[in-house]
Amino acid sequence: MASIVQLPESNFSEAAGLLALLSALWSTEANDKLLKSMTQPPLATAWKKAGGQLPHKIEPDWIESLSVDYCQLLIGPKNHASPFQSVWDQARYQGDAAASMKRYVDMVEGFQPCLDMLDHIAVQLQFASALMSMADQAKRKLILGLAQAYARDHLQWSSPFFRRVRDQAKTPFYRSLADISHGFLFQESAA
Amino acid sequence: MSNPDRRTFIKLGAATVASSIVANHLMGQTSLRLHPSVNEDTFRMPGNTTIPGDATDKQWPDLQKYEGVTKKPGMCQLCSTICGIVGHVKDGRLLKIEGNPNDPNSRGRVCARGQAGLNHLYHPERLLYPLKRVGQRGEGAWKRISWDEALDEIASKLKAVRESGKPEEFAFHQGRQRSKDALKRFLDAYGTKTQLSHRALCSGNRRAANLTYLWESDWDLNDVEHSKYILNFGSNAFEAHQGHVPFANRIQNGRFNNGAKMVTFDVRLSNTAGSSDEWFAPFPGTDGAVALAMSHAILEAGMQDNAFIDNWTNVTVDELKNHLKDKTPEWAAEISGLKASDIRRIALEFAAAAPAATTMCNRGSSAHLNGYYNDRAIQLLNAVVGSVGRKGGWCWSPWGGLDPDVKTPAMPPSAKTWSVLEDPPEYPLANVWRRMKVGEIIYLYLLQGRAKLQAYMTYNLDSPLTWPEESLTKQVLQDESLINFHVCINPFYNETAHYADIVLPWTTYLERWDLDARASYNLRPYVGLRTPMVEPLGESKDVREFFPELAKRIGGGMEEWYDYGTQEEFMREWASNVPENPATGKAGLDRLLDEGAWENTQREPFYEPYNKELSDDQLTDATINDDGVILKGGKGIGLKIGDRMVRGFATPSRKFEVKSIFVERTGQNLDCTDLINQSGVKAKNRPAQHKGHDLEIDSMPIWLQPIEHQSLNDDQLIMTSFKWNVHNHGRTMNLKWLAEIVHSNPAWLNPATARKFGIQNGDWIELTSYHSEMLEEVSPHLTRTESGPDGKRIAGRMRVPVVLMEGIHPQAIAMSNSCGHWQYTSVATAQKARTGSHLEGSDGDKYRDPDWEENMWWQDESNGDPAQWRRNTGNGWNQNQILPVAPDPVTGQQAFHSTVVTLRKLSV
Repeated sequence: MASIVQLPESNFSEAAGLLALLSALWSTEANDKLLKSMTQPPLATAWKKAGGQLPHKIEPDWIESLSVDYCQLLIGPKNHASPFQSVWDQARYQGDAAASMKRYVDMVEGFQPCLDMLDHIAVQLQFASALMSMADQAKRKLILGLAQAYARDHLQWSSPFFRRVRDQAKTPFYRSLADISHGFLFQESAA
Repeated sequence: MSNPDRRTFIKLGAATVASSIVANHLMGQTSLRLHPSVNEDTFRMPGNTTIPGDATDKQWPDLQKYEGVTKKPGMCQLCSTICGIVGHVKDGRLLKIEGNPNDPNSRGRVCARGQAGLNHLYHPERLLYPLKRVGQRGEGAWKRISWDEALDEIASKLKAVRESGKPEEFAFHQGRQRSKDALKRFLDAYGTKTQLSHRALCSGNRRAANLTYLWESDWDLNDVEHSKYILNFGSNAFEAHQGHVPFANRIQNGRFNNGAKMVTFDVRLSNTAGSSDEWFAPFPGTDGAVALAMSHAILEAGMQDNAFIDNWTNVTVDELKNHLKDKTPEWAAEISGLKASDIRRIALEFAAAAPAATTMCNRGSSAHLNGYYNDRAIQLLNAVVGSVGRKGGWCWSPWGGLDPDVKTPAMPPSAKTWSVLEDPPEYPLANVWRRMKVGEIIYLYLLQGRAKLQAYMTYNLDSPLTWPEESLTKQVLQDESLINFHVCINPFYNETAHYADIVLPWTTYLERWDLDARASYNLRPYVGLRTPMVEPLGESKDVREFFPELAKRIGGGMEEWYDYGTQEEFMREWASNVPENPATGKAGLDRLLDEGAWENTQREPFYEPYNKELSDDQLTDATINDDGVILKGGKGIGLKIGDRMVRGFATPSRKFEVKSIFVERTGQNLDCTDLINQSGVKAKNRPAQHKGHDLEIDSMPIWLQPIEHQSLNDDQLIMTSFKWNVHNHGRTMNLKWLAEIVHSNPAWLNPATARKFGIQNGDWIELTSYHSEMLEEVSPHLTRTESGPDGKRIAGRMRVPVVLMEGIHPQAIAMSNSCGHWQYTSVATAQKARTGSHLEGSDGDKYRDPDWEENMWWQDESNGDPAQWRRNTGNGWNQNQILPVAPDPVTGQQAFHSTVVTLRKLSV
């Protein structure tokens, strides 16, 4: 079971932040602007401490290699690890997971998915971030219940996805991104 | 995996607060709140039965799944038949496809392919983003690029080609296309006429034979629903004929409601042959001989329609008798292997049923080296018995597409360039009436240096699989010196995309706009609508969306042809002449969106058009020449028959042209302006580039046999091909519902033949194919390899297992096409859960997909070892590994059914 809902309430905003970061990194290739932000402290330090890989200097060749790696990992055109839950559940796009994601997304007013296909892991992490950021609102119990159901329905599937990405990644950056994503979502117990 | 503790993650989360990444990603999304209607029950999945265990919040089944669906019209495009369909859409997802009963041609029927459109739309390996090659061409390494990057690069290249003064060196190569207006607009605005197609790989001979007789239509529409007798020469209409769904429906109506008898001649027991009242298996390519002998038998018995022949054809009964005097059933029996008594009996039955009697044919007779003459001979039968244009007979319509009342918004003038790829001078009838082209020669001509391509854009094409000589196609596509820049437009990564430089993700037919129609068996035109039933998936786009963007980037006036607003506004203008339906008050595009199709039922079906009286208006200022042809302004408009002034046929003689002076003169590159004017049809003389490429074409329906077929050695067979009822040629093997039914294609071999070679069911053989000896003489420009010691030129070799069946002629060997993909998705390559697939490493049963893992039971586990191969596993073999480029010299149609092969049993 994805463990984010087991976090202490005092850590919900940090969890929301990390989920948003992971969502951003999975939603598209790591580009120059994004990587430069990653290399700024304190994010760079925390990222590396969590096992994240970054070069000392962002070079065009490095960005190009990340683009190629992201493509072979998540886009294909062949033998990739599809980032869509429907593909893992039903071997198709826009399956029941996409319909279910729409039901969840419709429950939160103001949520703007970062991609059109809602069962993409980036949208799912983004929505998890949204739920965690809302957990201090008046309907806290309801939101936590919603987060729990959501994590079961739409995060649990991603464990083999992250493992597959980790195994297939050709760059340390994506290998570490998969590790951090898996580690955060599926760690067994609090430190 | 590394194992940081929770505290580390929390610190990382805290660090993101100061980062711009998160703020940018969430786009200021700060005012989130639960929708007021949300309560604890909202979390429960829809359904009525709680699932036990840890998924207790889930319920099953979802009885509300189909509640509140919206029905959206469309038109299938998984084959050429384009049946009307209705999509059931909910929450932006297409849940179901069914036939549209408002479609006048398909009448609500849709085949297995149509149902599998859901697999097509939601295939997990569909292309969602533009890709750019990063390694060597054909290496398979890519990166995603944005549409802007893709269009900028393509436009830059195309602009340079255009400005080089050789716009014809930009070739657009289409597979099945149903957006004719959009492609033509782009290519004409650009200024290239090098629009390549697969027509010559499909139906060139049948079309040319029809045009020889009719001029105004290349497509016979046999009125089988009203027939009493249907004589089928090699068509597999119940499975794969163009327009087969409406055609098969009407054939069965004719048989069950009208008592029609159906007789099939086919070297293979297709499902059509098997469903016929009688099936005969002639020697391959002898259909024309059998047909001529039938005409002979009818004339011999005096059962011909004298009135039709004398009034409406340009030969007399005596001339016909004389022409066919040697073509006896006994002559045909010796050639075809059929009994003369059967040929005679069937001929007389056919004549007795006339005029409600019709022939039908397609690739079975057409896709031969002598296919043009086969089809000329077959169509002649209808003239002999007077069933041409008669109810229940051999009909046609001049409307091959949309109802002409529906006007395409203003188009650019046609491009005026010439390319040997588009108009090879060796094939006289390929382009004189319609542009049928000679698609199969293009890679050979590029290799020979006869043409150069600076830019090549492929569209819905899988030529490495579907073109003859697979190795030649791959070689040329891979060679950047022959094809400098290749853009592939396709919904899937396939064998063509594999050799591209940029791949553009194309929408499926369920996500785009078209007005569309095909020649209707109602013998009058109609209009159907293809709509985006759902939003295009990912970043896929249709050409209607990105061609305008490309045109604007290329500039130079191209952009002026795209000043028409949105796609919907364009469609609205195009459909503006669709009249109001009084019952709904809706007209134009709104009516089509409501009903999916419109047929003008005020138009009379196109029966006996030749017999229609000309009006006084038409006859004003008209003259009549010595042959009775009525001319106006130098153009033929009709025919004087006795005292009657009638329309006649749209041919130079205004008669059904059994004898065609035009084809004879065209073959010799002679001027035919007088004949063209007299016909009133926009035919063309051959251009100056054809000079020196003369060919003798007989003006009369004759039959000839390729020299290599005249005396086969004991170890020689003729290879034939066929399509299944669940596949088209190159685009459906990725659809799981269909691939599960048919995914492999062992060669069909007659048991008698097998005994001769000591072969048993399931044995493996090696096939060796040979280039045509006839073509070596007639078309020496095709020759590019050395002859062997025996004087024969080998085209290719392949190893396949055999299945023994009585349903194949003993001197033929059959393999289906559609099989043998090596790049086209996991399903098409029959690979499941292999190392490196997306299922590797998944968590137990929960996320293991049973459909992929258990139901993909046909994965071949043999690793290429024939001894380990299990029947009905694997994805089959591409027959084009051994089929040579072999155009009929008259029209250029690829002779897919004429290749001589030898076979050798393999020890495994």
